[in-house]
Amino acid sequence: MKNITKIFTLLALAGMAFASCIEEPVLQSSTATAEQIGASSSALEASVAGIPAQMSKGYLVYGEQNDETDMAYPALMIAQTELLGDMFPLGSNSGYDWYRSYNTFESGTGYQYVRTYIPWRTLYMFVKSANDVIGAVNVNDSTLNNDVKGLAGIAYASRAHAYYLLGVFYEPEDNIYTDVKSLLGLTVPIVTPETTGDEIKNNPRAKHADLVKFILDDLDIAQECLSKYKPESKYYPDSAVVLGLKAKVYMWDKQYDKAAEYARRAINASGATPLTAAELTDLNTGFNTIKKAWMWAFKYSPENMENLANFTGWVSGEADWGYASLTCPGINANLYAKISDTDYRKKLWLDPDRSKFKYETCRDQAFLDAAPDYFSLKFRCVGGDYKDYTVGGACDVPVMRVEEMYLLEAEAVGLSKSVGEGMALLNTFMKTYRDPEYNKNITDQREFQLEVLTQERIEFWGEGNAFPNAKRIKPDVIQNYEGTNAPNDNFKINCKGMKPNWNFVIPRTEIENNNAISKAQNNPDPAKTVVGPTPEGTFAPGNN
Amino acid sequence: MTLLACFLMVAGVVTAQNQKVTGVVTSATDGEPVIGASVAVKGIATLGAITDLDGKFEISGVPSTAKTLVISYVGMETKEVAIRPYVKVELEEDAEALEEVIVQAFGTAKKSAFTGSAAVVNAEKLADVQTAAVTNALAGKVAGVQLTSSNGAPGAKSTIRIRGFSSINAGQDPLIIVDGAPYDGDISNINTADIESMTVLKDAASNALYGARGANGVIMITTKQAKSGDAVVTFDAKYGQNTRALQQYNVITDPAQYYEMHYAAVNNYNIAQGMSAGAAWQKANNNLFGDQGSGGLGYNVYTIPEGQYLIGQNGKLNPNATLGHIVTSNGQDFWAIPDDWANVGYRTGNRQEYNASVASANEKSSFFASLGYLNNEGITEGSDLNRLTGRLRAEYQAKKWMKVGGNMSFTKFKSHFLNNNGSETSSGNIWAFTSQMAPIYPIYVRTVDYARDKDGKIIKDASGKPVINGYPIYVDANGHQVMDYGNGVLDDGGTPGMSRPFISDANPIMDNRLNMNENEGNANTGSGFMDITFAPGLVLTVNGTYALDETRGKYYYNPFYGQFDTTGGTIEVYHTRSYSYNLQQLLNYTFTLGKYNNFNLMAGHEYYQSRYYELYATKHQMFSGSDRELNRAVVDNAGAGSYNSMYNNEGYFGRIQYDYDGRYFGSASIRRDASSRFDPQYQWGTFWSVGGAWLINKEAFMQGVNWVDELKLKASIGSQGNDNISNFLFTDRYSISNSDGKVGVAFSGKGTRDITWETNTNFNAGVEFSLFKRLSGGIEYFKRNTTNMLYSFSVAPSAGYTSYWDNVGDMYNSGVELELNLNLIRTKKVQWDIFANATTLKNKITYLDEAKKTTHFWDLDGNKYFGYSSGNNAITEGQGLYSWYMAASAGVDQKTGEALWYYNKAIYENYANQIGDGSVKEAVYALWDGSGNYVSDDEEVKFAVGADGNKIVLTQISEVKKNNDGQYVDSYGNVYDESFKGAFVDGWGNKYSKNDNGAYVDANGTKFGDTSKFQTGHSVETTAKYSEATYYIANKSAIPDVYGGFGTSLQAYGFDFSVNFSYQIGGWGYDGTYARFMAPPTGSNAGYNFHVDALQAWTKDNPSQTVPRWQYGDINSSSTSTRFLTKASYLNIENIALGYTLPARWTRKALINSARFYVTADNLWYWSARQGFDPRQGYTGSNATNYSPMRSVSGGVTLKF
Repeated sequence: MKNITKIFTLLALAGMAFASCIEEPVLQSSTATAEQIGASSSALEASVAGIPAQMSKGYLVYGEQNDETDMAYPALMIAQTELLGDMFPLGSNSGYDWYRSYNTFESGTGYQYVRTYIPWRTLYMFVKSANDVIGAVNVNDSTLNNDVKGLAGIAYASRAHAYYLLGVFYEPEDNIYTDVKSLLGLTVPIVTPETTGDEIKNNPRAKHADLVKFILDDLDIAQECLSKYKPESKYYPDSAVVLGLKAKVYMWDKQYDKAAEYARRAINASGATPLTAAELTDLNTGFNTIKKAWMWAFKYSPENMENLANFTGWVSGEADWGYASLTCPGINANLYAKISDTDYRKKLWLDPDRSKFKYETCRDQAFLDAAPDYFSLKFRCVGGDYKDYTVGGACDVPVMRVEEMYLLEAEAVGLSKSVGEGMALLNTFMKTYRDPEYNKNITDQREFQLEVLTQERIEFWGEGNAFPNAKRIKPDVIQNYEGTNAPNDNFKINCKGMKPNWNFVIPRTEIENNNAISKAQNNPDPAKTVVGPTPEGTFAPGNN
Repeated sequence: MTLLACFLMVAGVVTAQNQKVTGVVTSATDGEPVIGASVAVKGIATLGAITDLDGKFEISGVPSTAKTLVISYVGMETKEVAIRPYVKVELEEDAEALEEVIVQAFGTAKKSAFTGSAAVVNAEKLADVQTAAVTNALAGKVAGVQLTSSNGAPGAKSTIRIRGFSSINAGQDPLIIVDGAPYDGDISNINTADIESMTVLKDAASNALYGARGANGVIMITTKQAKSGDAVVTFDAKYGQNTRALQQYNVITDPAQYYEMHYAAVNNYNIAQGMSAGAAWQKANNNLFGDQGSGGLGYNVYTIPEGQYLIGQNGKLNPNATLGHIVTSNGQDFWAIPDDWANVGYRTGNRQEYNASVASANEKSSFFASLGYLNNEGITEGSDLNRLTGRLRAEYQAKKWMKVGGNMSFTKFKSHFLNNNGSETSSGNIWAFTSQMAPIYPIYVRTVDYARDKDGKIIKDASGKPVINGYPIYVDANGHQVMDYGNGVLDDGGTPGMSRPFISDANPIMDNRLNMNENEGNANTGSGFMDITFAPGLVLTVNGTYALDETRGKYYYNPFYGQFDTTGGTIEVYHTRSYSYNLQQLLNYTFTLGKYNNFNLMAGHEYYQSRYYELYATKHQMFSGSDRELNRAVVDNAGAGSYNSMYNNEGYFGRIQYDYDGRYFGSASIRRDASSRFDPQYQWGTFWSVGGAWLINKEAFMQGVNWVDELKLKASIGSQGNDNISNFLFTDRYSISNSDGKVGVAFSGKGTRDITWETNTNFNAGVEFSLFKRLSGGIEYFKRNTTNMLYSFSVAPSAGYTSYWDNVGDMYNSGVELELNLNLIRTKKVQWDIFANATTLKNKITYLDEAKKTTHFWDLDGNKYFGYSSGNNAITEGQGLYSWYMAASAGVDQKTGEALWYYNKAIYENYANQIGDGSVKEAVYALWDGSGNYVSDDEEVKFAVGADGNKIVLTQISEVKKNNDGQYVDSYGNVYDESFKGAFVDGWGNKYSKNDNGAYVDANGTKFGDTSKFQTGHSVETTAKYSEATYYIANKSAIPDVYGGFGTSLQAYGFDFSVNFSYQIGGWGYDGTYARFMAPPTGSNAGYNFHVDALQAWTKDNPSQTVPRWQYGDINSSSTSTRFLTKASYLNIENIALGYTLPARWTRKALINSARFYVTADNLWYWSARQGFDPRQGYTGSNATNYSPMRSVSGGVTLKF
């Protein structure tokens, strides 16, 4: 027995020793820990590469299918177009246009709603990604090599872009429908890598001037960093894009002379030329593949794609996999009527008189015959593959095209020098690249601005880039008129000045967790401030 | 042992005497024969017999000197009787021997000696329950245990909460221990028929040894093993049916009435827009079948005479309209007529279950083997569970000092399941359609079959109308009977030209028929142990357990209809492997000091590890709809991947148990644990318990009190841990994605390095009693304190992330549990028992970190709370976890009929609401002055008049900083002299400094924004604007006041009957489905069914109605508010069983020991505050679009050989 005791005691101890080793788990999924990233020599490069990948990520905010407008940057492109009232769901299943709350004022616009939360969160996720890179690189370190500096430059440019959009979306503009008087000039909280957790809890909406300065400072650094670094592809902003961003920021800040200067510098630095007539309407590559005109873009990789939350599936009615096949996005007939028949862009939408143009599609003629008037053919499925989202949807998405700079320059010159000089620039651009017959002579400054804006709305339909200018210019928004193609009463609204939902609402989680922004300091909920239909020829009455 | 001895004795009989003794042994309890009882002749060790199947025995050659027979049987009191030629003996049950044994952590304990709180559900109570997940059977049976379930599918398990809610953010599921080892696998892989007992451990004394993970309570499942005796072979077969147990709400079923109601809403809207009655009527009719955005329903299912409208000016259906409508498209005619979606969507599922087992044991070994088969069809197509289980358990006393044993199980399963459970608006959720669809929409696409002559021409009747044979369901080119997708396009499965606003372009019933979600797998578990006895009382137990579940899953999407039709069919295949193992070494030493001091000491070590692996890929373009493998599809979806995860923990522990003379009991334990969910620096935690009990009935002074069988006082206190959070929350996390062929990473989650165990301190005290040998039960008080709560802190999303974890917050749960068991009748032929249990529960959050008090709330009484909101709940000090927080309904505006809500004007208008740390939460430009006069909301008025008449500045505080020009300025641009450098000022230049607590105080120490100076607070008004409505604390909780169960069982003359109820009294549930049915149509929400209560809406003529006006476009008419909080009390019949056991004297002729025929029914009926509302679905509300609970009714037979 004694021996047995000894033997088994030994065995037992051995057993204990064998088992007593709590193991450190190693993360082995599509998520990596800071320690794993930190151990990688190319961590900085991967963080920068993450920036364009994030811009196309489906379900970026929630990480799972929760809301179909949760699709990163493309969501903002569509939202801005619908805010302008330029894009309508024309299909028989228009109810599937989850973006319609940008077009209408039915519901879901208040601070507690998902649609309010997603843009804010999306843009601040972009800020965070840029901050992670910026915080890791000291650009003032003279020993930095040009590559590392260049990577930092990309991050600065990205951050500037995100804050520019935040500023434009959230800084309230006066309108007759909601009272924003006490909020004028307030933008968004500024978060940098140095901002502490406590500061984030108490971070007021920055004043317009402060945010503009902050963004321009970023762009200055970006310009410096990118002066000796050429990004490997247009998926990253380069020095020309930085100039273009400056032009946009100056425009927003109404520094028209500077805007004109930088738009021109961007055009020159980019070496880009506007899309040709053939490129515009290319059946297989139309607005889905980087062209010479594109200055900055990102792409969808099949590996990162969701079958529903992707750009092509939302804007290309030809694509059969997504919501667009149900909603059939098309252009507001009112805007379409402003495109002259000689404008190459007129072919991007189905004219009610189908005999006017010979339309081409990757589908068949019957598809075109059945498609509603004003249906968009602008965004094509990659390679004409309308069935397979991993092929047809694996597209490039434009963020900045050189056309934007031409149009910006025209307006900026018109305002900073003379309407005549601006008009000349507009005429030249339009005549050379868009409409050989275009020749207008507008002398009234506001008329001129509205004309530039119209061209921007046509040019950037589905891309959203006209929205910041519209919010500055505040055109009347007309969605109900004789012959309107607005799908139903909710869409049939006319607003004097601007639509009140152009002032984005800050989400409830920010209000509740950031002590420096109270409910009263949020932009007002525009829900039901305008109730459709507005009778034709009139404007919805203001409440304010 | 006795039995075996008997065998030996019988074998050894050598005698020549001729006296023969015969007799029969029966049980005093039920009069049934006792089989295998030993009958020994006193004084002659070699002489004896054992009773046969009829309880009879015969002993030959009994010497005349022998006077007494000794009859004994396990579990019965041994009896001595005088020898006669024929002896009839009745054996009484042995109360001592039958005393319940409690399965406790790392061993067992006699119930009387147990100091903790535990409840046992044994095999008998499980026998009639038809559930694949055995823990579902706890409903109503154990005090303190609450079950909720939002999914009634076959194999789905309920959510279990033991004694309330331990945590706000960390997991609250109890730890499941199967035969001594943690079990993280699928509970429905364990065959209910293999289970001997389920023991619920509720307090610290019983849980603490599971310290690591015992904070949420422990459910110990013990599988069957043989008891001593002859081999028992059991076979059970049952067959039955499953039907829907959820009641349908009282909704509109008549299509005419539905159109009328929809029309009425639109007509009311038109009139409100200023139209004349005639114009409003025309417009509403014109748009009735059009787009929802213009007030339409998309479908016309009535034939209306040319030039007439469907709805007359009286608001009633045109009497000339007939149901059914021909739609023509491309020369083809289709027939639109409503269908009953529920009728097509549901089915009666068949259920069959067979179980066989063999159990046998002798003094050295025991053996148990079982085989089970379950085929359980759900109540819709595409939901079922098919399961084959096997188990083998054996123990063997290999040496005097060594015992070994093993237990192996194997489960093969195949199940099909539905998607999007509970989503009200999902195109993939069958339940959303069957429970919410307006009664006007067809489920099928139908064509019109005209009678034709031999030339194929349509035959017309005398009036020239075509003669119609019928309306067959449209069959497409692939032979499918096409269901209506509501998209208006025939090729996409729509009735041409009709677009359904209710979840258009979808038909999940058809999808479900054509698609497939399948899980198929094999799960097996194995465990082995070895007990080594070194010396008397000193035993080392080493055991190891593993569980492996390999599942292969498939999602198949058809190429014909639905979301993936254009892909040519998509198949996703995945393989998952869950693997876990557990190793224990336990050293037990039992000894007695002196005469009365009994000790048991135990020390041990345990290690647990679980791993999960997943591999998946997806492809599309398939040859045919019947292909269900990747290799049958040709195009890669670029969606292949794999990952794995690991969790492990380890603990060292010790326990001492002591009793003095079986009267006073004490126990104490300690355990130290590490969890891999925490950073190595913070992964260890220490947990402990002490407990005591006093068996009063054993005291001398109680000896004369015969009616008290047992009376025990007990109390315990101790702590356990909770690490039920995700892995890696202690570090920052980044997501990896493809960036144009390169690796891109982006921040995805914020880590907190020092998070560690959440701690639960449990106190338990109670009395257990047994009186008159008939009434037993107990009453216990418990209080569970959670501290160091694992908390997900929300962060302003401008941070780029939205939350991080930390250990902050306190909460408690307290209550009283009562359990009663009453034996009303106990005779030979009749046995009648009643049981009941009740638990009260109070849950309160007592401390929240300041950082979690991100906002403040009011209740309607003007009480103010600080905390944060979580959905429709407010998490705040002084309230419970499930405290409802939402807009407070203020009824209906009698003038306009609009829904009204309360709002707190003062919230907007008080000057500054200060949160606990003195920083300002809300500051606005206007307020009430000291006299209660409203000042102004003009932007220029940045001050108000305080109670003392002084102006008080209303702008926020800012720091004075040097600007680029060298001036000292605040953020408002005011310029200061240098003395203000770094100071904090308000808009009037008043200086404040930051004190140690971070609050801004002036020279007098008064905090900036001290609300006490102002007329602040609460001023309730009503508003018809939902966006203005204040969210109030409703002072109503989803937690019931009392919950529990009761039931009875009766055995008489071979019949047995039992019924079990579960109930809940009090608490409030949110009836979201009812809210949906009470909503008038809007531009973005039409085609949902209406509740009949909506007919009672406000009208000008009847302004006192409590239902708001019925007007199209009133988007907030039934928005979330207290109006839909509904009493959550319910009573549910969990199970009813009726059986008959054939008399043994008949069955034995067929070598059958017993044969019982029975009928059993689960979930037969429930009663709740509103028909359809089911509070059992959860604490956050009820929803008819969940998979309905199933009612299962089966008949069966149990045979024992």
